[in-house]
Amino acid sequence: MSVPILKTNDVVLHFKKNRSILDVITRKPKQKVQALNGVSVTLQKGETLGVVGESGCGKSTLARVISGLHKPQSGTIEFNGTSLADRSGKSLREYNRRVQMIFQDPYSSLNPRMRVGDVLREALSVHKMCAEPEIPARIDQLLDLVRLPKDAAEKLPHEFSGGQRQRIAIARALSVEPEVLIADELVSALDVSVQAQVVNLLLTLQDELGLTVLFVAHDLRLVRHVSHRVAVIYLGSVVEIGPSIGLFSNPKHPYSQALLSAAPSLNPDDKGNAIELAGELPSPLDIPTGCAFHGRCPIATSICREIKPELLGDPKTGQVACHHVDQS
Amino acid sequence: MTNNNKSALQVSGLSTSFDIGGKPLKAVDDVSFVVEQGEVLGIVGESGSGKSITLRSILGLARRYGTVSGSVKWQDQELVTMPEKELRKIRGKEIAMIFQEPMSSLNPLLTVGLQIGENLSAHTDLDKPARLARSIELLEKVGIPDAANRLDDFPHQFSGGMRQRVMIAIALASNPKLLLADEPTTALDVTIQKQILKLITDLSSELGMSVILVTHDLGVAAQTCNRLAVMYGGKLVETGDTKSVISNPQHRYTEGLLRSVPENVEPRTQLYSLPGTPPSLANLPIGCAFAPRCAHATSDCEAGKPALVGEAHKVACFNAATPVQARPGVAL
Repeated sequence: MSVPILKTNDVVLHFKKNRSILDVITRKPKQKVQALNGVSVTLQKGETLGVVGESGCGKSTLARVISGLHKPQSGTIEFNGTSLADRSGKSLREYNRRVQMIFQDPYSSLNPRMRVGDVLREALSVHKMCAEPEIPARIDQLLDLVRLPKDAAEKLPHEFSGGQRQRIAIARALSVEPEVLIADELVSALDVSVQAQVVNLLLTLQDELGLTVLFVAHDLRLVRHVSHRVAVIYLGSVVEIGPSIGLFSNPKHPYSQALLSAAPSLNPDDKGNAIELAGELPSPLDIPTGCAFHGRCPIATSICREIKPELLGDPKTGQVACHHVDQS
Repeated sequence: MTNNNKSALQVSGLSTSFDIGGKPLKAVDDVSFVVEQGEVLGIVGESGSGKSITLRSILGLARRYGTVSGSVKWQDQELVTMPEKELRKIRGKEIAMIFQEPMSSLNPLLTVGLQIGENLSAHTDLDKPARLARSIELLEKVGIPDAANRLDDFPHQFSGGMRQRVMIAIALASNPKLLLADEPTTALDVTIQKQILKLITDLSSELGMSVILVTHDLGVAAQTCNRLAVMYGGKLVETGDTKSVISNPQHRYTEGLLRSVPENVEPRTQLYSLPGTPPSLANLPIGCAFAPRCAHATSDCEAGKPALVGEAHKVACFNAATPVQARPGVAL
């Protein structure tokens, strides 16, 4: 395998929670939200890594850490061999340009007072992507790339539908010629019939421009469709990661199995193999000891309550973090 | 489903319009359907198709803000023209509703026990100890562990899935005969979604309760509903048995919607996508609302609105897909 373009090593991120007056008086210890507890993923050039998990499992936090919006407490993020923490000044700006994020909500991620042309112009001139006189031509080119009409540059975000706004967000991200796109719930806010349009655009652009994509989503069908590899996250830890086809057809971790079987199928006769999870996701304020999943796991034994399983196995065929999965 | 086939709810020619800055906005346009006893009917559509307003119109929640016409017959009573005072006896008792946002539809200042008890005291003759016992029983029924100790908890002490269960418990408090569920699982995770949907279908078959489930997720509809009604631009475009609609969609919109779901397609291939975007209800075309996005549209489609016709499987389209035999397997 070639050298990965982007790599996270054991990234840990805990958010401190402010104590209420009552907590201070009763001397309760400060709580922290354990959003990421040692996440290591790699992104090969040109591939799409899907990230799935329930809400609150840390998948969006992972996306934000990689794009530099949060600093991890420990662990490193390496891009082309250089750690993000070691970057500053020019090198950091370079990273910010080459790793671009697209946000979930197209209704709030665009400045309502800026014309689309200005949104793109700002990105182009801040990163000095091209000479001032060439900017209008480049804007036309970008709008064409995301299949928006040329007169879109003169319009304000409110004049566009959700799908079109998400295209503007994609155009803005692509304007600085990034190598990695972090797509956090790219199409979740869109209607079903519009989702497909944006997903198709992403797939085409990825092939044309050789982009590497981290695709965070909760819609499992969509993740299966776009990803080469998929990581399943549970309470801030990767429990299973591997090639998309293998993971979806034969998930090994009991959580992956339950999650995938819960996705409602279009076939009314296919009620899923009905692996039902008891209870709900525990709070990330108070993560269970050992394997975080043991409280809901149908096959948990005493070892699961004590020792946190490591992610083992061949990265090429898939890795699982479970005491009860045969690694051989 | 029961055999006596007595329709519990008959909606015919229901229209709801709102006055937006002097211009009428027709959110629901001449919608007719029936719900049999013990049946789960799914209303499927995208945002702004009028599905939530249809539910609210049935329960008389829309008429305060807009004009509702047509007829909603509930066990030989006409709900559309019924005075508010009488309607209040049915609403929350015989017909209950669960709203989309479990986070915001519970009163944050009242305990959960009080909010369930409120419904019980309004619609049943139970005395206080009996209400308490019934509250505990309801919470247990919807799967809240340690129910007796949670009655004094406030909504913020529950997670999203638990709050939705509390909402269902409140709705079930008076043993409703019809449950209107407006996107009950949209804000929840798939694993919790599965639990809630199973709860609703179990209760429906156990208590013979009819359910109207509004959703935008075709997978949820396919898994939960006996019959489907597809809504677009304020009108029903297709209704029929779930299997029949899913495996043999007649309306071009239903067909496109089903094809755009990435299921059983080769990974990383281009998905089928409907061109354009759903229409704004304030600015609907004269003809078929779907015509501007439809590949099969003809001049007829732009001139007039097609009626919903057919026997068991109805469709409102001038150029409906030819009624083929069910395709081999469920080829989707």
